[in-house]
Amino acid sequence: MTSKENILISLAEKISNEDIRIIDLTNTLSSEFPVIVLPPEFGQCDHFSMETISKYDDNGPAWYWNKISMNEHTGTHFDAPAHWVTGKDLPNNSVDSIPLKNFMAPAVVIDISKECAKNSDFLITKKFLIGWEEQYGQIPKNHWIALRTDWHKFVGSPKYLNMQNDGAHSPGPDKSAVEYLVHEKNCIGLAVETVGTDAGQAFDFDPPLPAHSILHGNGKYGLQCLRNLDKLPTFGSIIVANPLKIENGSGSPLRVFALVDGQNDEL
Amino acid sequence: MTKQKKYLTKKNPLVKSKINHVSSHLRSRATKALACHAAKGDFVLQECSECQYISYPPRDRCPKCWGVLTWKHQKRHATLLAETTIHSTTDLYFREHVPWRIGTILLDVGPTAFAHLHSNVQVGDKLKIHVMLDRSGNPALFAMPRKVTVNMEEDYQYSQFTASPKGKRILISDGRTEIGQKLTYELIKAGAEIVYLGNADSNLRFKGQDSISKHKNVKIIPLNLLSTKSVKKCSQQYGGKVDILINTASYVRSGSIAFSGKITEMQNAIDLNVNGLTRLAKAFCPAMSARSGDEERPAIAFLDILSIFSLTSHPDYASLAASSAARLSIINSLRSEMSLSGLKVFSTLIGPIEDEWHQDIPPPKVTAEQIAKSVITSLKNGQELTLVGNVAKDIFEKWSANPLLTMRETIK
Amino acid sequence: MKRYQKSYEGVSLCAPITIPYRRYSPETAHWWAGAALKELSLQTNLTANDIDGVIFSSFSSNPDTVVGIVQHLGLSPTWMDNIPTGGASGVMAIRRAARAVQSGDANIVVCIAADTNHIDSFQKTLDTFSRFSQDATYPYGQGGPNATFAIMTEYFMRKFNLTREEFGKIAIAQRQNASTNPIALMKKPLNMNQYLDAKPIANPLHLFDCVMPCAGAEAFVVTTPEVAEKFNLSTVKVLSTIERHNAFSEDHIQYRGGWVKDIDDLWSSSNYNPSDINFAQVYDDYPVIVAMQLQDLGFCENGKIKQFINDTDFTIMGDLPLNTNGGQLSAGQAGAAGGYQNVTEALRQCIKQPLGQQIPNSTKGLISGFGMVNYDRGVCTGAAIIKTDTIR
Repeated sequence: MTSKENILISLAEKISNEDIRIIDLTNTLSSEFPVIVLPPEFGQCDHFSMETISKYDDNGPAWYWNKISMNEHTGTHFDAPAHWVTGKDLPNNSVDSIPLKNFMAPAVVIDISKECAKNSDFLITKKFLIGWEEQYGQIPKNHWIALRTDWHKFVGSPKYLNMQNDGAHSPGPDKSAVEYLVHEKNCIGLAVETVGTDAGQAFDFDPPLPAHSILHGNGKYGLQCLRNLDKLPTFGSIIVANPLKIENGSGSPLRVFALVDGQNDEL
Repeated sequence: MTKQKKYLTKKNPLVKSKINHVSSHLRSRATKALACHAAKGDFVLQECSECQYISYPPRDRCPKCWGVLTWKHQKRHATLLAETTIHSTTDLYFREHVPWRIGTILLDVGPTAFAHLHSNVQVGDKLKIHVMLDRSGNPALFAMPRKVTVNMEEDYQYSQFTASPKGKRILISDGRTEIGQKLTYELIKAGAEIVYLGNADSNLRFKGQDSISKHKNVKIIPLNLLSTKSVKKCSQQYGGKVDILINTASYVRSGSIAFSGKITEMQNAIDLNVNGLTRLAKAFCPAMSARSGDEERPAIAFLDILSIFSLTSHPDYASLAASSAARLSIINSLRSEMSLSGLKVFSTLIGPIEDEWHQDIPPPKVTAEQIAKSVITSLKNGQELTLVGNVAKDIFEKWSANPLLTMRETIK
Repeated sequence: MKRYQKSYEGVSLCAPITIPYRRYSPETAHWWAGAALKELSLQTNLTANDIDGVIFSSFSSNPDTVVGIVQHLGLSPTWMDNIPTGGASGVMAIRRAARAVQSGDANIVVCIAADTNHIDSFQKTLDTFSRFSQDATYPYGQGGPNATFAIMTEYFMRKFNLTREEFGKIAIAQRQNASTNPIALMKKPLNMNQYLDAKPIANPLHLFDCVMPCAGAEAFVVTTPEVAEKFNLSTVKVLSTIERHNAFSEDHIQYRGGWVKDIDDLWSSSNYNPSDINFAQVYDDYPVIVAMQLQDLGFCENGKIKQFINDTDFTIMGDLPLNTNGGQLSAGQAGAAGGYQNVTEALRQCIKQPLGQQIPNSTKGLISGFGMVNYDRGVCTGAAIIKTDTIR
């Protein structure tokens, strides 16, 4: 076989000469990166933390390494179905058992950044999605649904969590939207820039936290705390998201990136 | 008129800070026992359990009848018999502080002793004697005037034994809590120049933030005790400016060991209460030690506020008690380490506080205001160990008498 | 109750040795002790085999005591003692050695005091000096005995109505005596203005009130008249001695020493009165202690020390020659050797071999020792009255 006939070699060449570009969708893991805040009586999500074991010093003269600790849902992370009670009895519901093919899937980017700029509590509904499809085209099946909110630009300011006395205020889907994406589009999962797939106020929805509840109850995944969704085309990118193989893990911090056709660059 | 210490706002950056020296650490075990009482501000002397003869300096047997000695509270009254002003000495610490007045006092209860002298006392004067801890953490008698006068605690020599907040730059590790904020206001009332108030998460607002952040003597700074990086960064920025560091951070959750408690809660408690304290000490104490002998703006104290359950354990607050015990141990180790540099290390032991995390503990509970006031008093008096609230006092008294029984009493 | 003290019949003091002092010495106490033995053997022809008794005093021989010194310097005595009482150790050495010789436990007792003075010796000595000092003196900034003696001096001055001038007179007289002693460390003349205007140390003490620590060694021999004759040594007799420790602990501040308790015994056993004495060698780390001894030993009526000092000439040619080598205040304080120099200088004046100027008539002398400010006062006191025996 020659290289021209081999699709993988061809892909590698295109990546190498940047005909296909790789967009980093990951925020840097650091102790400052915000984590989701639950009511205090519940267990909390740990921030990332790092202690240096040695840095070319008495504890290790020629080497540098750190001890790190975090929650499975710290930083840019992947939610497995087992994360939610609705997905607790599904097969292959933890990060160590998810079929590998799902770690690499095409994405459709739905840009709601303008709406979110006006309204922190902006909710995507089924009605909105249908309207969107009329304008941009059908949401394909077996895709990651990526919600571009530009929320990642708030990282480092209180606006990111946007915690008020009545809870967080950030955009997300309502029940109708999630059901539409899961049941009619058979999505791989929901990929968002906010700290959770659900809207900030979703604890008060019916059912509470519809994205978590419906996505995971149907074996779908979540990707949170993403960045650079604004650099992806509406159609045609591939998201590579492979969580750590944690035994019975409910999720995992990970390095997420997207493959984008350089010639099809919308930017 | 009390000879006062000068308070300067800025020090000349071209003048090298003096290295701090502390006097020799060699002390008898009996004198170390006196230090334990001095730490609480008590005035005790040895009294023979057989002939009641009161003796000083600390001995191991009665010099009158060879009976066994016990420490007893004594009347603090004394008279100044003779005095000298030291102008020249080989002692490295006092060389930096001459002229320095000392004298021989005659205690009303019998013995004579050397004592440091307040500037207002003269030969023949009636005195009130305190046992203070010096910069090496060892006990020393200090003669104060019997009559209380304005600003008398600002006496230059007396101020070497205390950590008065007046004119000081103070860092409070956790300003998100009511304790941190009440303490800030009390410190400012006591004359603190500035309070750097730690905020662990600038993404989340906290109660009281609006009013305290407007105060001209308060600066809210990022400081997260769970992150070594954050603590280091804070010390890089403020370590050279902090004269007194107060750790108000505490992680409190109810929960037992076997049933209701979670291992993650234990980890969280240990990470904040134990590792957080360690991170603070590691990041700030070296920089503070280097300035502990500075003439103009010395770093003087590290104070930790922790639970009285550190002494006894608590079945329903197992993680708090366990982490507090570790915290107390860390403070003791740190105190020993800092006694070489002259940085005073204080512990304020508190009973259950009136907050949302102690709802299932019945009163009496301590308020943030009580804690804040006690901290100020302990700094002003140079008192290393302070107990706040009736629960803390009661537990400490029982524990002092019989530690094992007191631990057992916490079992239902 | 009057004490019955056996006489010192059959005891001879001889062979005073002084190794010239140095302000600082890189050598050890052992080196200085060896130097004293070497000088002794040169002057007396005594060898290690002759020496069957050893007394050793030092503050700087740690961790060695007399045991280590005996082995270090190759001696093999039948009797030995370690006397750790600083300024009282010379008198105590006479007492112990004399009784050892009288009883026959030893025949030739060499008493050696040796101390070095490294740059850091003073601090090291302080660190291990006494438990009460560690616990209740040094934490007050004394950094040595200066401030303790300052408080004693301040109290003594008030109690007996003294001024600094009286103490100045003692220091100046001793400095004048030192001027004739070629090995005194401080021989520069001192006048009253210089004394009064000196650098303050701890009120009321100023520089010339304080001894200067240095390195040095002193030694003497206690033996029988027969041995002394055999080695052709001049001899001095012991007429009477006293010793007392921790006296008057009820006094709030020390203004008198243990001598007061036993002074009548001292004079009655010697069959002399203070007025019979030709010279006095008293311990002098600070002038206040000299004044205290003169009063306590009966040279003046109790409470009249001010007048006595003003009325008395303490120089070598004066009414009561005092510390004729200059004393420690001018010759230097070589640690425990400072507690022997009162003995060696007294012996020299009696046998007419002074380091400096000879007192015209010097057959009867008083030696007084004071030592060990264990806490707030000197604990150990002692005194001896001696008389010239045979000059060879």
